[in-house]
Amino acid sequence: MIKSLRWRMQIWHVAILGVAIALFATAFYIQLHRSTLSEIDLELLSGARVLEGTLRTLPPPRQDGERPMFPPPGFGEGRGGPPGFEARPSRPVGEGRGGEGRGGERPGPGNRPRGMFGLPAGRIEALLQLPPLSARGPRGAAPYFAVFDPEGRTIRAEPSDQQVEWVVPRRSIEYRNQGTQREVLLRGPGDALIVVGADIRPQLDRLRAWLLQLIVTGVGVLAMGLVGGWWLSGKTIRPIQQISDTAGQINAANLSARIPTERMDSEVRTLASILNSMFGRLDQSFKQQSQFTADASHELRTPLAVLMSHCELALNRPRSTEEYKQTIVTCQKAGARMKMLVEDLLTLARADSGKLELDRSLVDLQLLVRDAAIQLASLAEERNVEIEIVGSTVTCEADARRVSQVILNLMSNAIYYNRAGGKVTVSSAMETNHAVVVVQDTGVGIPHAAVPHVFDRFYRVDEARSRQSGGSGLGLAICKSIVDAHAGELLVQSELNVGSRFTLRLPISLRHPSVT
Amino acid sequence: MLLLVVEDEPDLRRAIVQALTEEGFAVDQAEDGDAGLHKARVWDYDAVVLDLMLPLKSGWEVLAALRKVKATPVLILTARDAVSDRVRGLDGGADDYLIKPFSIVELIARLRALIRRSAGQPNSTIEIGSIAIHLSDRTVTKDGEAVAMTAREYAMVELLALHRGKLITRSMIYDHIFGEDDDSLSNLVEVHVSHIRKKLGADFIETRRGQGYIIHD
Repeated sequence: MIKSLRWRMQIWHVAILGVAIALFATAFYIQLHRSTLSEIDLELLSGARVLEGTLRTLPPPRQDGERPMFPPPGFGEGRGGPPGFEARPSRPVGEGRGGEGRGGERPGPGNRPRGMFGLPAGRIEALLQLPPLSARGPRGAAPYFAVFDPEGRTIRAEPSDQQVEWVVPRRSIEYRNQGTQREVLLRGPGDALIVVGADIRPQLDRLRAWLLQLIVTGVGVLAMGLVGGWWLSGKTIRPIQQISDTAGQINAANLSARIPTERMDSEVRTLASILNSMFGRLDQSFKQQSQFTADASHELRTPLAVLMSHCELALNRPRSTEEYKQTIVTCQKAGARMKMLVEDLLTLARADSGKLELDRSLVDLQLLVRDAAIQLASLAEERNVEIEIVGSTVTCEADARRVSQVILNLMSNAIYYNRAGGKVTVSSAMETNHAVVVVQDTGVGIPHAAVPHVFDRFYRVDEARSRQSGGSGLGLAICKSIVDAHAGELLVQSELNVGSRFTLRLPISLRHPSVT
Repeated sequence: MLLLVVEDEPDLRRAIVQALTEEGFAVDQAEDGDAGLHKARVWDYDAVVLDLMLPLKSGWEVLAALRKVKATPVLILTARDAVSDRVRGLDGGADDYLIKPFSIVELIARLRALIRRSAGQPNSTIEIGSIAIHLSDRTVTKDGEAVAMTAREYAMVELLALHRGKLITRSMIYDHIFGEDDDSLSNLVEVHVSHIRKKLGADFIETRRGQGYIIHD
C-alpha cells in the first residue's frame, strides 16, 4: 500500500479520470460508428428502393403456364446483352438451399430469350440504370448491386464481376457486412432479392482515424489531468507540509516558531491552530522552567558569593581569632540561607511532580494558628504589630506540618509587610465542606498589578524588603503548592496602603473534594 | 585610589570593602541604588563596584543616571549571568562585568586594570626617570631597587604618577586616597609628601604652593 497521501490521491485521480475519459470516448466512438453506418445504410437503401421501383414498373409476367420467373432466366443473354449479363447461380449460403437451387432451378438454354417481361432486354437494362449511388471515399469505392430471383439466381449484377452472396432474407430490409463491404438486402417485388452494397473501407478508415484521434486526445486530456491533479494535490498537501516543517523546527531551544494560518482552509486551520496553541503552551512552560532555573541559580549565587569571598578574605593573611570567628559565623549564615533555599526548591520540585507526600491526620487549624502566633511573638513585638486570633476551632484532614508551614508563612508575611502599630487578624471558620483561615493585615498592601503574581516563584513585590527579611521569593509559591496538594484554595485580596487578606480554604476531608 | 561599593547584601559588602581596604584602596559603600547614585554623582571615584539587583533603584538605573554626568569606570558585580544581562550592562556604559560568586583577587585585578585604563595608562609599570611604579604588585623601585612604602604613600605616588604632568589639588588627593571612614589624623597630605620625597628624591614631587602637587614626566 502506498503510504504517500499525495500519490494515493494521484492514483485515484488517474483512475477516475481514466475511466471517465474511456467511457466518454467509447460512447462517442460507438455513436460515430453507428451514425456513419446509418448514413451509408440510408444511401444504400435509397439505391435499393430505386431498383425496387424500377422492378415494379416492369410488366407482370405472362400467364403462359410457365412459372412466373422473375426475372426471367437467361435474362439479358441475348445478342444485345452485355457480356456477363447472364443469370448464374449465386454462391450458396445456406448449404441445402443453395445446393437445391443450383441443381433444380438452373435455367436451361431452351428457356431463353424472348423478352421475359415482354420488353426487350435493352429496356430492362435501361430501367435498371445504376441508381444514383454517389461514389465516395478517396478510393472512389463505387456502389454495386445485384438482383436475385427467389431461387438465388442472379438476375443482374453491376458491376457484373461483383461477387454477391445470396441469402433468404428474414425481413423485408436487412443489412449486413461482408468484409469491408456494407450491403442492404431488400425484398423486392415477386420475392426478388435486391442487394445494394458498397465498399465502406474509406469510411472505416476514417472511423479508425477518428478512433486514433480520440485515443490521442483522451491520453492528452489524461496527461493534463495528471499534471493538474499533481498540482492540485500538491496544493492540498502544502498546508500539511507547512505544518510539518514548522513542527520540525520546534525543539526545546526554539519554541517560538508558529504555523502561519492566515491563508489556510478551515479544515487545516483548525489543526494548525490547535498545534499553535500547543506550541504556545510548551513555549510558556519551557520559559517558566528556564526562568525558574535562572532564578534559582541567581538566588544561590548571592549566599555562595558571601561564603566564598569571606573564606578567601580570611585566608588572604593571618587574622585574629575574633576575625576568624566572624568569618565562620558569616559562612554559617550563608550556608543556612542556601540550605533553606535548597529545601524550598525541593518542596516545589516534589509538588511539581505530584510527589508531595501528605501525612494526613485530623488537624485543628486554630491550634496551628496559635502555635504560629507563639513562634512569631518576638517578631511581632519587634515590629510593633499586634496579633489577634478570632473564631472557633476548625478541624480538617490535613498534613499538620505542611499546613502549619503555610499558616506561619502567611502570618509572618502579615507581620513583615505591616506598618508599625499595625494589626494582624487571623480568623477561622467552618464552611459546609471547608475549613477556612483568613489572615488579614493592616500593612502596605500589594500593588494591583502585582496581585496576580504573588504566588509566582521568585516573585517579589519589593526587592529590598524581601532581601532584608531573608526571603527567597518562594514562600507564597510553596504555600500555594501545599494548598494545591490538599485540593484546597489559597486566595489573595489586597489594597495598597490598606492591607492584604489571604484566605486559606481546605476541604474538611478527602471524601469531600474541594470546589474548584 | 577611592572606590565605591554599591551592594545590598550586607555580608558580601563587608567582605568586599575589607578586601579592597586591605589592598590599599580607600572605599566608600552604599547599600541601595539611591545612596549609591548620590555618592557616585557627588564624589569623583576612581571606580565603582555596582550590583544590579538593588533596592530602590536597580543597578541599570544607577548606571544610566551616572553616565549622564560622569564617566567614572563602573564594574558590575552581579549574580545575573545571562549573556543578555551582560550585554545590557556593558552597553549601558559599564566598563567590566563580574559574576557572583567571584574571586576577590580577580575583582581587585579587574579594578586595577579599570583604573589604569581610565587614566590612559595601558602598561602596568610607570617609569619616571630612575623611578619605576609597578601598578600590578603595588611596588616602587628606584634604580632597580625596591623602595619600602606604606599603602598611603604608594597610593599617593600612584595617583600622581597616573596623572603625571597634571596638577593634582589637595582636595583631589583627599578624595582619592582617603575613604569616608578614615580618621582625620592620617589625612595630613604634607606628611605623606615629605615621606615620599625622602624615599624617592626631593624633586620627584613638585609643590605648587596653594594649589597642589605635580609629577613631571
